Amino acid sequence: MNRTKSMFSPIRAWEYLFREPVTLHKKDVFVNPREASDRYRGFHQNDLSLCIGCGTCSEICPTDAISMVAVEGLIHEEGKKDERPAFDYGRCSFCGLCVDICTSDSLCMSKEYIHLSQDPDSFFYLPDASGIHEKEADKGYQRDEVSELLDLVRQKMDQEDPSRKSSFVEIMKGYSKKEALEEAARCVACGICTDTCPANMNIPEYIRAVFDDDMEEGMRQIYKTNPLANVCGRICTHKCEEVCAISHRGEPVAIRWLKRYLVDHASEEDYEAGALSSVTAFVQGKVAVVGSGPSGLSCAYYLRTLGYEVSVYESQALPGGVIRYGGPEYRLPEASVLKDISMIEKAGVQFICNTKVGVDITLETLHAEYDAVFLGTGFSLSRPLKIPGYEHPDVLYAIPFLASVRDYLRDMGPIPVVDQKAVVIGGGNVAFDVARSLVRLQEKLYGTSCVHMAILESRDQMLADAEELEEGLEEGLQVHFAYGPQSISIVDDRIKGLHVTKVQSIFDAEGRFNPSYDQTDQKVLEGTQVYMAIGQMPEYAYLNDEMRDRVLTKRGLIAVTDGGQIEGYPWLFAGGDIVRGPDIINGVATGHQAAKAIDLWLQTKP
Amino acid sequence: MTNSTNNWIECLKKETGLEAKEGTASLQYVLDVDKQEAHQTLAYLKRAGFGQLSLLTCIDWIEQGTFQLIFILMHWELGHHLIVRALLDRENPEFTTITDIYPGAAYYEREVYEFFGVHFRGSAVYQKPLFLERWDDMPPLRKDFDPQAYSDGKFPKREHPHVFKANVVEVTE
Amino acid sequence: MQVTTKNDRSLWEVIGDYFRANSIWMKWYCTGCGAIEMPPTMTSRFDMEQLGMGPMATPRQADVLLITGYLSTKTLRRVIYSYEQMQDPKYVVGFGSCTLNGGIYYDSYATINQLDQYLPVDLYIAGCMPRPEAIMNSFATLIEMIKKGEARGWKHYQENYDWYKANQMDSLGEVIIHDEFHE
Repeated sequence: MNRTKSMFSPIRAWEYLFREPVTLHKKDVFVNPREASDRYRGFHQNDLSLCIGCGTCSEICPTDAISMVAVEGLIHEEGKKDERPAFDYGRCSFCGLCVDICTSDSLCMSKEYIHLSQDPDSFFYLPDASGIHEKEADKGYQRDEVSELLDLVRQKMDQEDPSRKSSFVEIMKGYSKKEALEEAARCVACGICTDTCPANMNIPEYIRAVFDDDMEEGMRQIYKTNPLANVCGRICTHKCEEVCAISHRGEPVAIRWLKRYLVDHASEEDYEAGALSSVTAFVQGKVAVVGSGPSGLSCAYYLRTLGYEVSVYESQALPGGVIRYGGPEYRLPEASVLKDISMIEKAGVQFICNTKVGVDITLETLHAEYDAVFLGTGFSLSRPLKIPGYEHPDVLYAIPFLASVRDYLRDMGPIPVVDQKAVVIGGGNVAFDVARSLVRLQEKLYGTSCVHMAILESRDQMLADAEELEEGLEEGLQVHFAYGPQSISIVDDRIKGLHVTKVQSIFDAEGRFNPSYDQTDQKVLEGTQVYMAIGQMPEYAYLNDEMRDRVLTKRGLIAVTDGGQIEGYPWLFAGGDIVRGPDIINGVATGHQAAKAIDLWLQTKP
Repeated sequence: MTNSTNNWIECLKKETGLEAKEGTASLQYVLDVDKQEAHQTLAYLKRAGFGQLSLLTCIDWIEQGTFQLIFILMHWELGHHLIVRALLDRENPEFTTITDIYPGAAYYEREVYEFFGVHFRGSAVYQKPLFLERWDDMPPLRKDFDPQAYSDGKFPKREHPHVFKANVVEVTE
Repeated sequence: MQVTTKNDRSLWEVIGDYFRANSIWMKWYCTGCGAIEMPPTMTSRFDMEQLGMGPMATPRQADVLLITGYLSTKTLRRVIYSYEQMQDPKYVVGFGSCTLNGGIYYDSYATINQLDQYLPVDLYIAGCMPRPEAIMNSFATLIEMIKKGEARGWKHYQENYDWYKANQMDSLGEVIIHDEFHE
């Protein structure tokens, strides 16, 4: 179109006088700057109550802008580090990778984007839930499914189907190489697990070795702090997995199964090279270890690495204690136990079996013959529940029963006498071990099984692992939650069953153990045998009266210093259950600490 | 393939015995040549219609111990790009200048010399600094050069003297 | 080094600063990627003329030098040239992460990390890059600082000239530019 231009056409520019100007008004720039878009990547906000200080953000930062700094006045919490991320806005490029990978969901970016200062140090700050200017700002960029950088789902592991209940075959089949690599790749190597593990195992390091397919390095990392690699790869209580950084948003890394993968897949040479790399031939003293359970084995192995001659005294026919006579075969096959113990034997530890200290040899003799003595005698007796009828010969106890099952399975004893119907009292892992072993023996003997479990706690409060219950139910256990045993009914000298009553509460108002019952809800659990698995206790046959008075605490444990040394008897050290209560990894940890303490004491002794 | 495409490929094969392969993109071809033959091949290609040198650069294959010179040529009539590649010894990287064929290569040669240390024999200007002023270390795009260490040694970095307290930020002097 | 020069302006300087603050010429030299935020700031959307600021093509007539992002050693030589050609009083504003501590180029062989080692910086803006609002706010802040006599980087540069020169020499070798265009 061809417009005719007139001399007045410049006047048309005046129409802009009546239009809204393009320029933003000053107040929209200085007083209320535009709000940023919803996914704007402004200054960081970090919810310090959620942040666990794992340092993954610092690790991934491409510009090295995030440093983990100690925060004064921060109260230490289990499963958290005492450091928090501080951001250097002289480095940050606002890429948001730290937000994408944040394991605890504490970090996000705000819509705040203006910070001016003459002071360059003000650009380095530790964000909390308020922003850089300590004022509330809306959340901007947050992670979504697309930008997620963590792998939150654990690799599934194959396991035996419920028909397994007719044999003692191991349930979990272990990871294949591909699965293990994928699982290892989920680890962010924050090391919170190391801090939580009683033995402070080098978990990120051996997971890295799995990822690098370097078996020898993996074995070396494990044996640095734990000589029971097979046992702990299978039945550890895995406190590490409870605090795993990935567990805050997803399933924790299968740390225990990765350890098992290493021990199962390492070649003979790699295994030995890793396990025995720090054992020395040099000998500078003699130490006796009483008891060959986890703590005794651990203490003996680390004493060998420190250059001591070690003799381990064991009352049973075979070394191993709870790992040889306690844990059930379907969780901990004999071959695994044997592998661990034979490696400790290869390290040069001498085992003296069938010798009970206090009976066959006295503690005083050991004191005279050795430079130091370590006690790792564990909890070797079952605690009885003194209800009417408990003295009947068909009332059996967890520890001797599990030992007889293991002996039977390694062809060293007869098949335990098991009736067609049995009742188990107790709700911990040991109770489930007893019940599930009973199921297997009943299936073997009678082709059918009937095991009732009377558990004092409700389902939510249950002490045993969730997987024990799940697998037990698959195998046909009849579990009665919140029922307390009252008496054993005996007719014609035969047990007929167990009277139980519904539990209303376990603890009284002052928090003491004092169950109250609902007397209107009673029942009888039928069975001709009753197995008690309500707890274990120690046996101190080797301590004389004077020592008992001096070293035992009110709870029946032995009082020790940090390293495991017993006050008043500097040559005597203790570890394991009798110091910390029953737990395998605690036993390994205290055994290791005691070995170091023994070495220190012998080196500095005048 | 058009006749004219076949034309230069076939002529090249007839004249020099070299075979150009198809590249990853359309209208793109790749030709690997020996260091000795590279100069005369480029001269031939220019006569064959590749009138423009789009790029001359270098790749450091440190594990193989070689540098690879990359010449990207363009044929304006056919719209073809031809990537000519030649391997050089990494220990003693030398090449004959191509400024007599493509005069504009002088700047590229200066760049490659500066960043990789490749010598271009026969060129009077290739050692003249182009981008880096007063460079005092090994050529910086070689893979064994550590830029972080160089930066740390040369350019001061800010240290933050902060002590953080829970919820409070304080600066220590 | 943080600028610590005392505020001891004479009456004439106070009056001069008051008027100067309302008419600032900004040197229009794009040193890094942050310069891309300048077009909206200078043109009609944000319009820095609202604050009485305008672009200036030469350093000799300019008051403010914007360092819009990273500085390679090569650029830094020219920036120092430009800064020293500017008339006192003169002010430097550092844009974004790079001028503070290197930003994403912190491990580069060619870029400096800390601008205030080489030139006195009166004001920093956070961001990678800062948005036009942040830049406008920084100009407003700078104007306030000039009025109050707080922007004293240029005096600091005079008083600590040897310190700045030594740093420039350490990182650059020499500031004088030798290249084919200057010979």
